[in-house]
Amino acid sequence: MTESDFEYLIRTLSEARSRATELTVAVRSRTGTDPRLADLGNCAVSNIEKLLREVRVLAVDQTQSGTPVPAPDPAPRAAAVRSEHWLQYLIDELVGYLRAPGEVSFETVERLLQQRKQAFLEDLETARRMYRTYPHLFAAEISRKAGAS
Amino acid sequence: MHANQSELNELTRKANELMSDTEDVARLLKARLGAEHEIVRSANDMHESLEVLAHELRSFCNSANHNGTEISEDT
Repeated sequence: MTESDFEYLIRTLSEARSRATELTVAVRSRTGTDPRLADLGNCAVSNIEKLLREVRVLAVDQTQSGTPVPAPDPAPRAAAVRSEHWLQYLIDELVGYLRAPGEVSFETVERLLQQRKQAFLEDLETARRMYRTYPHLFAAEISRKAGAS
Repeated sequence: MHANQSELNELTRKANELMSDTEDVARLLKARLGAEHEIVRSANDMHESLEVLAHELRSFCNSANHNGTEISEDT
């Protein structure tokens, strides 16, 4: 696996996760008579998140094991692995539920928050491992941002 | 049901698009790591779940379309 492979996979899966979440919320609000469809959407989101985590872990493991990974330009990789904010996902989901009549309850919000918290903690652990392994990539990204502002 | 036919068509289109946009993920992982690698199985699971979602949405959409046609023919 090359660095560009990982960059492609992480970018594609991050986008897919956002799109699948959005799609699932829309499906739930528009097909209220058939909750099975929304469950299928949740299943797809879970599978995307699981694969994304595994790809990130594989990227770290591959470098730690000493397998050569060509890195001509580290900046795109740092941009690709920058995580999206959990609050935005939660708000998107809540707005989707809000548009679905009679679907929002305290239990629903608590469940969504718990799911986001779990996903955040798992992503945080992966990010920490990546920071320990690729500190130079994060430094490059910070410099790039500082230069842009 | 809370959706009209065009909304269902749009959801189905998005599901199909998402499925095709992620097709290369499993293909790439399989080519690089071999079919037996655990992560390839996860990629296949992901692709399969997107396929099922797209298929079920299509069926739901067709069914809604059929019912709508019957209703309009009855009236």
